[in-house]
Amino acid sequence: MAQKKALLLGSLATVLFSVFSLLAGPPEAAAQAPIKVAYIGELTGTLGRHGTGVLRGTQLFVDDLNAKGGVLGRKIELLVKDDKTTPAESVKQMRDAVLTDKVDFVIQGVSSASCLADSSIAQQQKVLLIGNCMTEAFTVDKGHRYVFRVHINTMSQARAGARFLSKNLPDKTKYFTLGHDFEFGHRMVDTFLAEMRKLKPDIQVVGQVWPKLGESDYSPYITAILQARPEVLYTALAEYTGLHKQGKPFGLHERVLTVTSAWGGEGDLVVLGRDTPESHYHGGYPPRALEQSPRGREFVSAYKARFGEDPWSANLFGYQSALFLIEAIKKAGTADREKVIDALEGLSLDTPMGKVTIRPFDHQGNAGIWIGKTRFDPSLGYGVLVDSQFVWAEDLLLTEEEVKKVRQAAR
Amino acid sequence: MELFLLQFFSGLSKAMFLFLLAAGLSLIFGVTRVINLAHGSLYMVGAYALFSLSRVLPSTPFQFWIALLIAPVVVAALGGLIEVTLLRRVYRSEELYTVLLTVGLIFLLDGLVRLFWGVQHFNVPRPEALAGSIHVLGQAFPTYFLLTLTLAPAVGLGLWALFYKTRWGVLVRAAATNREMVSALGVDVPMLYTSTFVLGSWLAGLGGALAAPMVTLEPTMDAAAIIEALAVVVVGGLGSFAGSLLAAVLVSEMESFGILVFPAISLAIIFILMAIVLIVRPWGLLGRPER
Repeated sequence: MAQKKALLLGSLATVLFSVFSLLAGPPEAAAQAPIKVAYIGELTGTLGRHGTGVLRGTQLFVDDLNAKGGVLGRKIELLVKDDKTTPAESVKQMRDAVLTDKVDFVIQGVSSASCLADSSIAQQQKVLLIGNCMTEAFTVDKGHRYVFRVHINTMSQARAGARFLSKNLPDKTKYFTLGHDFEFGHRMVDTFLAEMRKLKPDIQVVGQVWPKLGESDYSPYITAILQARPEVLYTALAEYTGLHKQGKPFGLHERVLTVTSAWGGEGDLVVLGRDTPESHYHGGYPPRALEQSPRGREFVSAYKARFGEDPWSANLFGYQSALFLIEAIKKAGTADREKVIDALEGLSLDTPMGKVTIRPFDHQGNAGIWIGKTRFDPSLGYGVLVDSQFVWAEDLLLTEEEVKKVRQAAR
Repeated sequence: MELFLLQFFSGLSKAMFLFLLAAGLSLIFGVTRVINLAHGSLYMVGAYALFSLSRVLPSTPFQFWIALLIAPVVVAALGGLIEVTLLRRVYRSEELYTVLLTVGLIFLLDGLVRLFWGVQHFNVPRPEALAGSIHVLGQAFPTYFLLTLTLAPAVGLGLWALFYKTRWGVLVRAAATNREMVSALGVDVPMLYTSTFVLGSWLAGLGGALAAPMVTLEPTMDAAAIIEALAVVVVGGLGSFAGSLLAAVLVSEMESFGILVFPAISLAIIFILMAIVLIVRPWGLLGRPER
């Protein structure tokens, strides 16, 4: 709501103040001016939990880097801006960062609408924008030289879900879909079904529903789902608590296999606590799975040491974004944005989520995703993902030819 | 067939929450002529209050019930404070000012909730006794619905008795019709207004507290609540309890069955209904036209 701005300015000021006072530290005789990086994301509003999560990951990486002396002998100065989960506010903050703060590099939160809105400013002003939103349109349909995404998108997540299901549960054929009525929900569900039909032409879609973002009462949706008697319920939601909590007494999980291949991971399950359903399939980056690799272990333990809790997917995204930006600056040997962009193209790094390469033609990272089964962990008090399988990045994304075709059609 | 029944009951359960919210909104408007846009915020505070109480209170089988009793009272007290310190000062001003004031209250309560509880999401566990499901005609049915399906109509009946069977009710209805006349007869009208606002807030708080174990608690839950409650009040008629009940059931059932029949437009149904009512019967289904 536009009117909320007035109130939120106050909280924004407080957030900025505390963030800056954390980052400022004692004045040093810095040989060179710091490199300014803006974080523009959802610190308040519907996606506040997600945007704050991304920020924490970025902060973790940047603070560690600064403690070690920075990059190219320069510190990173992180400017934090709250877009209140509205694209209009995001555009305002983006302009402010570029025109007033003279920032060359921007890391953005998770809202697809905000990413797309800021993408055009990045193009006009020739500023490097690393988005953490999921819509494929950000790098494909509307991609251009100045935008990057260093992890997954709706295409890779939805395809990962279809691969996982057709491989692990080949005998299930009756599907029902439930997606929140916004860009992410629609893209995920549509891509998932298209891929599923390709892999298993005999699947049958027995129903689809689209509750609004922020819906609190899922009962009528749950009863509608039960009525259609599907074998699998594929979901793409911004948050899962309401559905699973309200679904439990209806016996939803006994009668339908619920699945999502979206990225939230255990972060979605923490809120559910004891209400975590058993044997629901969920996508994400579970800390226990990440810890299997040395880079993953390093990230999880650093996060736990700093914030006192396990990291969830949003934290990893923020970390990953900062990691790629800094490594590109290192590789370029300068903070010149055009040269950093050239360095990012094709950059391949060993990251906490495995080896990821930024594809030069669409600036999209070819990351994979874990899909695991939920199980309540009494010692933690919430559900964790067990028996997680990593769905590899290969062929999850569109090919160069397909990207070209989509871009031409979008013009 | 059984599943249609299930669909009906899941709609009915939603109707009960909407009724509690809309009844409070309608009550406050009927007596004080204030459209309390901060009603959704009071609902949110009710839900958060239940959450905190369920953490603070000793863990006994009665914990939830005690919290359910106290949380709406906390909200009622907050409502009383708001009425005495703020609203009372603007009754005689133009309508625009009272609306602006309640919009301001949305921001204020929103900020307080963030300050107090933060932006993270919370989950309130259902009480042990109501956590499971009962089996009706071979279908699992959440036990918690039994609580909402009995409590809300009981509250509705209580409200009716309060208004038509007590002296306070008579005075409130009289003050709603002619404030000056009632005042001239020596009745303490400001006190009547305060008690009305307190009761309305209590209803919002009860709605929030009852909803808490069903939903995710997050600081934007007020928005959906006030929008749906306003739609129900418009459809049912401002100031009419029976209208609120009828509209709440109508809206929820249309939404519930809309999901089965036209899933693509189920979100719009409530607004389509509102638009039709506004065109055909602007004063609502059971409301009375303004003279």
